[in-house]
Amino acid sequence: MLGTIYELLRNLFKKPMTVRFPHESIEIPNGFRGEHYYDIDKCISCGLCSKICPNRAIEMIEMPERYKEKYPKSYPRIDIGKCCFCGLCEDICPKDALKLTKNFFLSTFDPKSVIKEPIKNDMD
Amino acid sequence: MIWIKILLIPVIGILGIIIGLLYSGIDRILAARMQSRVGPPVIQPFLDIRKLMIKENIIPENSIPWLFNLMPVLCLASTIVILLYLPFGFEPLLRGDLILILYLLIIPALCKVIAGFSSGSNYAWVGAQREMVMMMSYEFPLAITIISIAYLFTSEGIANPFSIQTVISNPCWSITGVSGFLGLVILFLVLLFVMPAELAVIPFDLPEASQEIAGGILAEYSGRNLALFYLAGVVKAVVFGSIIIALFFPYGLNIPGITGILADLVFFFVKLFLLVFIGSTFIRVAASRLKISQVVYTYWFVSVLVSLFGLLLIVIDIL
Amino acid sequence: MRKMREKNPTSYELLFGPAHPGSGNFSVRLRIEGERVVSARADPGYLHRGFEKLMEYRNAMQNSVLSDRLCILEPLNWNLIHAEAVDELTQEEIPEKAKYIRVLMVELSRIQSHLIWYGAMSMGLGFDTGFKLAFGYRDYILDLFELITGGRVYPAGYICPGGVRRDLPDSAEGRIRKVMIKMEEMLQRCENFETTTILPRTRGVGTLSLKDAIRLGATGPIIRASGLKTDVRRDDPYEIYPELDFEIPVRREGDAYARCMIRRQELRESINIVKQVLDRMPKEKLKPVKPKLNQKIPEGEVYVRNEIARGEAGIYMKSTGEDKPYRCKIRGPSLLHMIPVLEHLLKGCQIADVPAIYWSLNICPADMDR
Repeated sequence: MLGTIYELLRNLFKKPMTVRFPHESIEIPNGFRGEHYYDIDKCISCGLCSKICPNRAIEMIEMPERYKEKYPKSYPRIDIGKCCFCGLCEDICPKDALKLTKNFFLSTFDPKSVIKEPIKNDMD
Repeated sequence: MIWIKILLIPVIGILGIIIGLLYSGIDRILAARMQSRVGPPVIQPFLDIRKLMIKENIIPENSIPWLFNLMPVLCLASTIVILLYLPFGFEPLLRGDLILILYLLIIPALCKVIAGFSSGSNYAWVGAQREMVMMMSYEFPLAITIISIAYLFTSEGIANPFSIQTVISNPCWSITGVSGFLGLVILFLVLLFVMPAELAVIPFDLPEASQEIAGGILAEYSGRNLALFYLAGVVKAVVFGSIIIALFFPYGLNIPGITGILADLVFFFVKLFLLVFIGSTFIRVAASRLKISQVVYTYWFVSVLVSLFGLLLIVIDIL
Repeated sequence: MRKMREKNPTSYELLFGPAHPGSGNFSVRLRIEGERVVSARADPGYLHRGFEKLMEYRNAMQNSVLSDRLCILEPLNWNLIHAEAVDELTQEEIPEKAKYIRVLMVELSRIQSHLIWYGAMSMGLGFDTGFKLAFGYRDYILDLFELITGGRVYPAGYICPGGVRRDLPDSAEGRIRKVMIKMEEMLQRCENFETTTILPRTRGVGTLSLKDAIRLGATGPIIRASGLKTDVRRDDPYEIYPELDFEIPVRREGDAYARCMIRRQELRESINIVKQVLDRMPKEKLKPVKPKLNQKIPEGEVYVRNEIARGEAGIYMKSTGEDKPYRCKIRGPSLLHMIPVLEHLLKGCQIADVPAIYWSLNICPADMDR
C-alpha cells in the first residue's frame, strides 16, 4: 500500500513516458515497410510483382503514346489503398527496381494520389 | 443592502463554475503525470463544455421529456445554492446552518437518480438504483460527523451551535483537550473518505461506471444536458471542499486591509487545492472500482464505527 | 395467475454488446433480475471475415502474410502455426538459427499479448492507471518488432514456410536485453498495485472446477488455473522448446484471481525464455527466405497444434499437390472459451462481476470468428 503511494507521488516529478510527436519522434529503423519507390529504368517487365501481390494491388499497364518508344513493355501501377505493405513485391523483384521507403505519411484527401503510376509526372 | 446581495448571487455562481472547471483541469494534469503521461492543457474542461454546448440534444423516445430536461438544470442550480452559504475566504453571502447544508447536499444526488429513472433505458435504470443505494450508505457517516461537531459546540455552551457563522469564528481545534483532538482528527479523516463518494470518482463511481453499464445514469444524455451535469459535478467538488474547510480549517491570515482579503482568498484556494488533490485525484489514480456490496459494507460498518468512535472520544473529553 | 407472476418487474435484459465501451467485438445477452444474472447467451459472428476461404486462393507465402491477421493481438504466434503446417507437408529442413529466431519472436509476441490483457483487464475493473501503464510498456516491444520485421503491429508473415523472411539486425540483441529489463520493471509495478486493485474484485469470482473445465473444453491458462498441469510446449514439443528450461505455473482454485496470477507468472517465464534464447543463439548468418511463384506443396494432410497466449490453437491443412492448399481449417481457442465456458460462468453472478469474468478469460473475438 505504501509502495503504491510512494511510487505514484514519485511519478509526478519524473519525465513522462510519452513521445511528443511531432516535436519529438522516435528514429525509424532501416527495413521499415513504407511507401513504394519504383525505378522504371531498372525494370524488365517480368510481371512477378503483380503475380505475388496477395491483394492484387499491382496492375501491369501499357504506357501512353509519348512514352511508348522509350518504354515499350508493360509496367506496374500500384494502388496504395489496396496495398497491405507486406514487402513481397520488393523481395521477389529480380532487379531491385521496387523498394519500400520509410515514408508512412500517406493519408490524403485527394483520391487521385492513391494510385501510383509508373512515371511520376502527369500521366493520363 | 438586499439588492447588493441579489446582484452578487450570479457573480458567485459564475465564480464557482470557473473555479470548479479550473480545478478539474489541474486535477486531470496531475492524474496524468502520476501515470507517466503528459495530460491535456489546463483549459481542457472549458473546451469540453464549449463543445458539448454546441452539440445536438437528443431526447430518447422512451423517456419522460419534462423530467429528462428539468433534472440537469435543477442539479446545477441546487449545487450553486449551497455555494452561497459557504465562506470563500470572506464572509458567506447568506446566513445558514449545518442542518440546511446537510439537506441541500442530498438534492443533486436525488436529481441524478430521477434523471436515471426517467431515461427509459435499462442501463440508466441500473445506474439509478446503484446511486440510490450509495446515497443511503454515505449519508450516515456524513450526518454523524456534522452532528458531532455541533454537539461539541453545544456542550461548550457557545450560542447558536448549528449556525455557520459560529463554526467559522471558533475553530474547533482550540476548544477541545487531547482526546477531543484525536476525535476531531478521526472525524476529519472520515469526512475525507466520504468525499470520493459524493463526487462519484473511482473507487465509488458505480452509478456512472462506463465499462460495466455503458455510462449508467448519463447514458442517454448528450449535448447541453450533459454539459449541465458535468458542470454540476465539477462545482460539487468546490462545494464539498469548502464544507470541509469551513468545519475544520476556517483560519484566515489576519492581515488588515485590502491585501488581507486577497491573501485570505489565495490561502483559501491553496487549502481547497490540497483537499481536492487528496480526496479526488490521488484516490482516483490509485484504486479500482468497488462493487455495490463492498461500498455498503465500507460505509455502513467501517466508517460508521470509526466515526462513532471519534464521537465517543469527544464525549469523553467534555466529561 | 402464473403468467402474471412470471412477468417479474425486476427482470430485464442487458446487452453487453458490440457497441459497449467495456467489451470487444462480440456480444452477450444477459437476462438479469435485480443485480443478479440469471442467464447469458453469447452472440458471436461480428468479426467473421472468411479466412478459411481466403486461404484457398493464395499460395503459401501469400497465406503467411494473411495469417497474421487471424488475431492481431498475437500475430507472430499464428504465423508460426501456419509455417509449421506447410513445413510438415513439404518436409523441408529449417536452419538452426531460424528456429531460434522463431522462438524468440513468438515469446516476444506472447509478452506483448499478456500486456494487452493486463491493460484490458484493468480497464474492465475501473483501474485506470493499469490500463495506461500496460499500453505504455507495450510500446517498447512494438519498437522491437519494427526493428526486426519492419512493421510495428503487422509483421507481414515474418515467420514463413522455410524459415524467416529476414535475418536479425546486429543491434537487435542489445536492445532486446534492455527491453527485458523494462518488462521486469513493469512486473514489479503490477505487484505493487495488486492488493488494492485486482484482488478485491476477482477473489472467489467465476470459479471453474476441473471437471467442468475438461467437459467444456477450456485450454491454456484457464485449465491451468483449475489444477491440470498441461502445456503443448511440454506435451507435444515443437521448434527448440525441448532444449529450453522453463516452468509451467499451476493453481488449484480456478477463480478469476488464479487466472490473473497464472498469466503474470507466464509473463515472467517468457522473459526467462527470451534471455535463454539470446544466450544460445548461433552466430552464423542466415539466408532469408525469398518468395517464389509456383512452389508446389506435396500431397497430404496434417494437423499442427501450438500453445498461443490464449490457449491451444491448431491448423488442419490438406493439399492435393498444387501451390494453393485445398482446405485449411483453423482451430482457435476462443470459440470454446466464449460459448460454453462464459455462459456457464456468468450464470448466477452479479452485474459488477461480468467484466471481471469476461476479461479474465482473455477471449479474442478475432480468432473465434475468423
